[in-house]
Amino acid sequence: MALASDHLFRVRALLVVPWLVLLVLGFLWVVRYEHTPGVHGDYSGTWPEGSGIPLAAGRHTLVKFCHPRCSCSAASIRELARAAAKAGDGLAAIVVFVDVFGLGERLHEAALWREAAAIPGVRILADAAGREAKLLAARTSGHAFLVDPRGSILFSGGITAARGHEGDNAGAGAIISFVRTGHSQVGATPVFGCSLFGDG
Amino acid sequence: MLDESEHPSTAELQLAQKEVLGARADALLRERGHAIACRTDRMFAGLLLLEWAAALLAALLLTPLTWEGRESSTHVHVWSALVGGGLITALPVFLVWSAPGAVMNRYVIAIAQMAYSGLLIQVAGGRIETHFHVFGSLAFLAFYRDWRVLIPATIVVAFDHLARGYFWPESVYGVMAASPWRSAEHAAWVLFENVFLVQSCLRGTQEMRVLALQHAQLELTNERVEAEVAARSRELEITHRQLLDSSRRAGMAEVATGVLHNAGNALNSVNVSANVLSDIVRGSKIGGVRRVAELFEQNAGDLAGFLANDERGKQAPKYLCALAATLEDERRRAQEELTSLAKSVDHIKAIVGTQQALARVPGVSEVVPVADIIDDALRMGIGPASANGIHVERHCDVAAPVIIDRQRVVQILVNLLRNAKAAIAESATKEGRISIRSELVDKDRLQVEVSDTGVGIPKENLTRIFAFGFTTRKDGNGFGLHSSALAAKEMGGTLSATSAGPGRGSCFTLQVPVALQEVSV
Repeated sequence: MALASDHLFRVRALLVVPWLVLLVLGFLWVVRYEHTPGVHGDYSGTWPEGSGIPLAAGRHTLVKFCHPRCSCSAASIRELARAAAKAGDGLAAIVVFVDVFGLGERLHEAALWREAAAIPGVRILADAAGREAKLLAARTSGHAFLVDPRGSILFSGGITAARGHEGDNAGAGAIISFVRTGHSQVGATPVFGCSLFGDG
Repeated sequence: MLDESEHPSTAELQLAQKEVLGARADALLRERGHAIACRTDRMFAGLLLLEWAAALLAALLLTPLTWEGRESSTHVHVWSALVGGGLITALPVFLVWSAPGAVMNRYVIAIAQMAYSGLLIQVAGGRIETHFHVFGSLAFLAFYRDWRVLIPATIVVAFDHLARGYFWPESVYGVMAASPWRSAEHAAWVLFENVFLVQSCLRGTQEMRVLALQHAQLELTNERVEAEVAARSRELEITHRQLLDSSRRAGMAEVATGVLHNAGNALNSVNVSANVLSDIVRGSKIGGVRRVAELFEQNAGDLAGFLANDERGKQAPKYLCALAATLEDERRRAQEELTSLAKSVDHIKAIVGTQQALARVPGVSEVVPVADIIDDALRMGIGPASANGIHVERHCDVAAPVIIDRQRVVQILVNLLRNAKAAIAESATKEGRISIRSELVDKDRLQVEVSDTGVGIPKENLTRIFAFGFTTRKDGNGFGLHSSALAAKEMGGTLSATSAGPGRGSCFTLQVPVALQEVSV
């Protein structure tokens, strides 16, 4: 079914401009959302003495807090797997799932838990009521801490470049650099993920 | 009349032909390009709808919800897949629906396709495998064979990175050392692919142009051939018409020849009858009556004494009785010849009448005994057999009268009998036998065989003898058998010939359909 060609061309051309504008606006909105970090706790310095998370002796420990149902954290878990593989034996990785729903043992059934548990050498812990997360002021899912053998927190932040976005990122790069060389220019990055306690 | 200078030169003609070819090739190229554009438009319209569904499904499966502690809400990915995907898809699909193949479509589709790359990468959580969508899409866009379509696609990819870098430098280019290089690598791969795709598009267009030129050349050749065929067909039509005219004239000549031939045959019979009548008249004993009358007149004074006493008078009554018998016989023979003469004249009239109707009007059928047909034919074809030294055998096995075109059958048989007579005359002995035998075959076909002991027919001439103009006789015109075969065919019958060879006689067989007349008892 074809309309009169001249009229049709004008209609079609007129539609393209607002379409492009809407596309650009939509793109910017989505990208803005993806790149808006969650609340970043201000804990730094040394590992808290009251923490029940067992740090590895003689090597760096990466502790990462996750919301059990945060789909964005799946990308973060996969980045952790890559970073752990690159860092090798110099890094002990621990993923701590904050049991925000009080699931107890059923926390193990979460898809994200199973995905994390499938990473070789990674230890999984449950943080009942989010005690450990609160102790370290971790308020956004995906917040990771790199602790050296002496208990100093070398890095605090996210290991994805955007919300739920895999790929090269400053956080993972900093962790690998610390483990391999002992230093990095980056000590903190934004954390992209769901709010752990609904206060973000 | 054109001056010589006004005639186009060969070079000018070639140039004009080249221009015509070029214009036609351009038109074909546009047609082909439009067809490709339409096809590719439709393919992308379907693909975009599919991608919309795939993006929505992926969002619902991978990131259905976002969480704030224990509270959840629909994830932004779901909304962006549903609304954003719908927005991306709507315009290209509308454009393809409203005007498939339009140039604008492909640029909008290129933008939409690359926007889907961004959307799918976002929904898939940035999985590196999803980036293949960018490269696959560029390759698909090359289906248009228009390298310019890669420009908006590449711009969209570039815009994505530039926008992220401009608005969120920290997350893209700022402190993250690896990202700019990775982005540069992505851009390099895109450019790498573009180089090959542009080359491929240009080569494809060039090949299409060559094909279009060849096609145009072929069309031109076809047009020439068709024009040539049309001209030849017109010439053929004219020739055919001329041939028809010639044939018609030849046909008229054939008719005239037929009339003359058959009328000639009948006239021979007339001539024979006239000669016989002349002989009868010439040899008539009518003079005896005059002599007896003179004797009676001389003895008129004593006629009784003359009859009683004179020796001549005594013989007169006997003589008169004998003379009367002789004269009666003369009259009978004259009457027979006159009847034959009348029949021959009737036959000539019938021949002329039939030929006047161009022998195309079905002949007049009449109820006639087969024996009468045979007798008529023998009389007209052979005449008095004893006079020719030919022994004639006549067999007629059909007792009941038949309904048949008498004149035509007689005409055919006369031709056959005259040929038989001539064949015997040409033979060494000059004497011979003619046999004419009639019978019914298959209940509704009259078969008449005319065989002779004449010179016979060579095997190679058995079929040629029916051709118009073919004859082996010095005085023949090659028409008798031809017209006889045609007449037999027009009556729905056949005329065929057999012969054991030269000097061994021949046999002609006529078969014609007949209807039997019921004989009342």
